[in-house]
Amino acid sequence: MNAKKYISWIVLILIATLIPPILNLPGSLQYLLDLSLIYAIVAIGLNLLMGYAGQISLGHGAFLAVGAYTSAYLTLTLHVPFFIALILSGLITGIVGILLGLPALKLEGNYLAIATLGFGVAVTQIFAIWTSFTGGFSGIKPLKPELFGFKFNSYLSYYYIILILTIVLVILTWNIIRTKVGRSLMAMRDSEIAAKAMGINVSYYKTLAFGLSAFYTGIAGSLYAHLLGFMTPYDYAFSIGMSLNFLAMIVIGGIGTISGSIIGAIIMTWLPQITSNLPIKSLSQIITGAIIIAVVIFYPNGIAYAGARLKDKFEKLFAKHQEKIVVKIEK
Amino acid sequence: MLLQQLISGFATGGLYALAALGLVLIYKTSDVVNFAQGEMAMFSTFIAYTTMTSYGMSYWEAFILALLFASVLGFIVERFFIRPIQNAPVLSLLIVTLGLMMIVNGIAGWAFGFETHSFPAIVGGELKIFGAVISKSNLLTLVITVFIMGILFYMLKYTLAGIAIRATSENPTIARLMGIAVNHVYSITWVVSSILGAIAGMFIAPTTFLDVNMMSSVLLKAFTAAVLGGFTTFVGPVVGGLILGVLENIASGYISAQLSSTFAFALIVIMLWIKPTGLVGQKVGKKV
Repeated sequence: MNAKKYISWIVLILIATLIPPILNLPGSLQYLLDLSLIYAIVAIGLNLLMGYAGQISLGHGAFLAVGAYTSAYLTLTLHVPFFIALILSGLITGIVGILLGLPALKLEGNYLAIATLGFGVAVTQIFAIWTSFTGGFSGIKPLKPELFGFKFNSYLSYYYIILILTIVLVILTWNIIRTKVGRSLMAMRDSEIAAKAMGINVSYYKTLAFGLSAFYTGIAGSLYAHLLGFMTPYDYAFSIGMSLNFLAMIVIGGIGTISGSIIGAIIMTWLPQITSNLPIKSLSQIITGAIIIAVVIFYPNGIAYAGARLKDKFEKLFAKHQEKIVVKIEK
Repeated sequence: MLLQQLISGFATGGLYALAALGLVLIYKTSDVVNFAQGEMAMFSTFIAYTTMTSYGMSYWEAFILALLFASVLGFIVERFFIRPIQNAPVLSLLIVTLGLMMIVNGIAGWAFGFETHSFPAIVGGELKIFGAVISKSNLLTLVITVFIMGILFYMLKYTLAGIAIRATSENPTIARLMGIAVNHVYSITWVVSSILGAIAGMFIAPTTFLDVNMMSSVLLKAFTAAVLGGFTTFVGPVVGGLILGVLENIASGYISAQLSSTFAFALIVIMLWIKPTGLVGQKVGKKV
């Protein structure tokens, strides 16, 4: 990565750190900001699976539920400290991901989509019935996180925990992509048979991709549980609808880009908020569907790429302009 | 008791089979798994409901109208959403059908509201055969389903359109060289598939009740039926649907009816694990 890119990321982190206290957002908007970052973590995890490993998942809402309930159970029933519960729920969700990855070894494309869709529906159904673990319809109340006696009570203070974790996970993702694992995943995505011929253990990397992706989502699930303060298995974030929204995030932002995942997550979190005042109740859903179709048809590489292309065109235009001037002078 | 369970199992299984046949028809010809199938069927069912309640049409008038609507919807979806990206990778096509699923579901919520309605059955009442109590609507559903499948298989086997569909599903390029208008075949399969979905939707609605999310579980069952029987043959989804219907009926008696989708998921995973081609499927070689 070049220096220019480093600087732009540092500036971005500075903005993300400083803007919320400066703006002093009301609670509901700060909540959405927290949520955007949590969804960004899910989107990065999903992108690792879909964008880099080339596997489809329509069940990430279920992974989020697994992470959220694991964390809630650990902190409420077993009195495990928040930060340990956070990592444990990531790991446990990762294991669930590996388990789902095992049957997925034999599947590809459409079949994988069907199987993961089934997984998503099944988990919600099981959680709704398993009331001793999830509290069922009456719900449970995950505690606000605490560290060295400081309670992260406000959405603003919690925002910084999420922000730090997001940065850590982004750096982790970079390192995964830029090393052997990432290269193998991408080789597998581009051609499974060619990857096999190159000596890549396809089964291992497929399961690993599912595990990693679920790990990210589990971390996000834990963060989500403690953000909510009250949750039931019927929460929209755990449903198939949300799994589709996660997919929409990375499609809109750009499949196979980290920045795209973050952009997509932010767009998809704020879109329902923006359209909520309009008379059509399900407008954000209609818009989302229309956007992802448009993106696939017109910008198959997502908005992050579309932006780069626009910049490219602009620069070319500018360059041509300069050329013309030079020509005129020569005459 | 057993006869009763078999009949009601076959009745629901037949409906899963119809929806699954719609999926397989499209999959075999254009390599797309249509995730919007359930939502399209839901929308058509709502058309039937609205024309019945708001415009005072009879059941069968509304039924026919809904089927007309379904065919137009199927045509539009194929022509304007799928055809422009026909040759795109699987993932793109999948995402487009998922996008359609969101749009259709959203528009239905906007146009028809989010309340749950009760949808009338074809006929009421029960019959007693050999001591088993069988609802008339179950029996009639079964008869109609078998009849529709009969027509469909006759068409696939003996009519020109059916032969064109089968040829396209074997190899679109060669079919085109043989003078088959492959694009028309795509249109036909989407229209037929949409109609099959709508029929399944209207027959299932009396038991599941009608709301914008009614078809999400039915779609999963249709997928299960298709996976069980195999995506590669036309007989597969019928076999898969009937087996699923009966199994589900028996399982709901012993396990819990609330876990029916979990049951379907377990079947999908087991089947894909043991025999990914399905019970009656053929193995398709992979091109490198």
